Amino acid sequence: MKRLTNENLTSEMKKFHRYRMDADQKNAILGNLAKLEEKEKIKSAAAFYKAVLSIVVLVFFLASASFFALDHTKETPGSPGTSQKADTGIDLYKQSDEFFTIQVNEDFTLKENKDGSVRFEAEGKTVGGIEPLNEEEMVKSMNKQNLFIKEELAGYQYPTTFTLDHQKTMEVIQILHYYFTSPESSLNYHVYFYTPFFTEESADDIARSFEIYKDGKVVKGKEEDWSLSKEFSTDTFGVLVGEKDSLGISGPAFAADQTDKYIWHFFGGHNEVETLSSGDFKVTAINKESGEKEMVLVESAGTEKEELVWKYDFPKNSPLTGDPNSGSIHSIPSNMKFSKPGIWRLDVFFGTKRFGNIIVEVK
Amino acid sequence: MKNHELIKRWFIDYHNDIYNFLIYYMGTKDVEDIVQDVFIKGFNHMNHFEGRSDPKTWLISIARNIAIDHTRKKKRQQQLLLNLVNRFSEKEKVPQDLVLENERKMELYQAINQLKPSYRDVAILRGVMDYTPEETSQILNWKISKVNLTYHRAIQSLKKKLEAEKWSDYIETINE
Repeated sequence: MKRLTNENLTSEMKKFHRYRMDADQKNAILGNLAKLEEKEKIKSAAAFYKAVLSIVVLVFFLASASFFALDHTKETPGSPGTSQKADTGIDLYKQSDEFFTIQVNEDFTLKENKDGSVRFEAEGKTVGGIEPLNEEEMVKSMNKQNLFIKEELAGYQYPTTFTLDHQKTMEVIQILHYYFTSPESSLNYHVYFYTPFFTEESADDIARSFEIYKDGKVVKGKEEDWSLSKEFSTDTFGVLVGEKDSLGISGPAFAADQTDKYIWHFFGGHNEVETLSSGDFKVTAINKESGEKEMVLVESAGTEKEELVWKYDFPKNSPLTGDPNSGSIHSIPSNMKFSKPGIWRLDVFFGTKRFGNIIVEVK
Repeated sequence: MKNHELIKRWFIDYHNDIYNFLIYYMGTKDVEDIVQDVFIKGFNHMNHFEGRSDPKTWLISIARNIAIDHTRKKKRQQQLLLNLVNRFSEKEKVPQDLVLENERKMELYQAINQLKPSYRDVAILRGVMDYTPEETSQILNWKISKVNLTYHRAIQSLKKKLEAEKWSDYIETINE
C-alpha cells in the first residue's frame, strides 16, 4: 500500500470543480436585490414617522391623564347629591309598558328572576337569559367581556349588536350576547346564550324569535333587512355575489327547482380560518315570504341518490383550499336547489360556528 | 455608497464564492435561493458589518449560518420521513445529490462530509475553497492558530479514512 501524504491530499482538495452561476440566475437575484432599494426608502420614512408618532402618543397620554385627574377631582366632593343614578334598565322596564317574548324549545325553560329579568335553565343550570338594560349598563356589560367578536347584525327586526365573549370556565366556553335596541324606548334587551349548551346556530335561531311588545301589541322594528347581497369582483373568480372580504358565491343565476353548481369562497384572517376549520359546512335557507327554513344543499347531484341535505360533512381541521391570487382562504364547491322563486337568505355555518349570510333572489 | 448599491456591488464581486461554498457545504447544486437569502440578510444586517472584516468572509459566514439552519431543518424532516418509512438506509452526514466529475473526487468529498463538524468546516474552507488561514479565521471566528491546528487534524483524519479505503492507490496511479 502506498503512503498518502498531506500534500497529496491538500492539492487534491484544491482541485474541486469551480461552479459559476449562470446569467439568468444572476440577473434574477440582482433584480430582487434592486427591490431592496425601495424598502430602504420606506424604512427611513418610517423611522421618521415613528419619532413623530411617539411624541403624539406621549402628548395624548399626558393630556388624557390630566383630564382623568381633573375629572376625578370634580366628581369626588359632591358625588352623593349631584350624580343621582339614572334608573336601571330593570326600573325602566318596569315603568314602561313593554314586555318581550322569545320562542322556547324543548331543551330549556324560562325562569323569571325576582327583578323581572329572565334566565334560561336546563337541568337546573343556567344556560342563558334576558335582561333589560339602559344604555350605560349595555356599555358596561360589553366592557366586562373577553370580547372576541363584536358586530352589528343585519337581518334582525330590531337593531342588533352581537358579541362573542370567551369564558373558558368548566361549564361555559363562550357566551353569545345579543343586544336588541327597542325602537319605542331607551331600553336595550340583552339576550345571552352559554355555549356549549347552545351553538351559534341554535342561539341565532332563538334570538331571531325575540319580540318586543308594547301595550299588548308587537313592536314591529325596522323591516327586516332583506336587501340583496351585492356583486363584487376578485382577481381570479370574476364576479362573486356576497360580501366583499367575507364570503361570496360564484355560479349561474339562481333559478328555482333546478340543481346548479356553485362555489363558495371565503375570505378573512386568523379568526375566519378558525371558524372554517370547525367542521361541517351547513347552509340554511330562509324564504322571505314564508319565513320557513329549508335545505338547499344537494348531495350526490345528478345521480339516483340525489337528495337535499342541511350540511356537507367535513372533519374538523380538514385542510383549507384557499387561493392566494384572489386572497380567499377557503372555497367549497356545492350543488344547490331552491324549492321556489323569491328572496332567500342563506346562513352559513361551520360546525357550530356562524360564518355569515348572503341574500339572493331566485328567479 | 448607499447600502443597496453596496450589496449589489458585493453580489457582482462575490456571488460565485458564495455559490461554490454553499454547493460544497450543503452537498447540492440547488442553492440559488440561498445565495439570494445570503445577500438579503447581508443587506438587512449591514450595520453589523462595519467594515471590520473583508466583505467576502463576512458574507461566507452568513452563508454558513443559513446553510446550517437549512441542514438542520432538512435533517429533522428526513428523520421524520425515515421514522415513517423504515430505518433501512445507512446514515450519511450530509445528503448527497451533488455528483462530482469522478469517483475519486466523490470518495474524497464523501470522506470530508463524514468528518466531525469543525474538521469539515475547516476542510471545506481551507481545502476545497482554498481560503487562506486569515480568511478562514474570520469566517469561523477562530484564532489563526486554531484554524491551522484544526486543519492539520482534519487532514490526518481524512488520511486515515481514505487509506482504509485504499484511496491512495488511485492517487498514485493518477500522479504517476
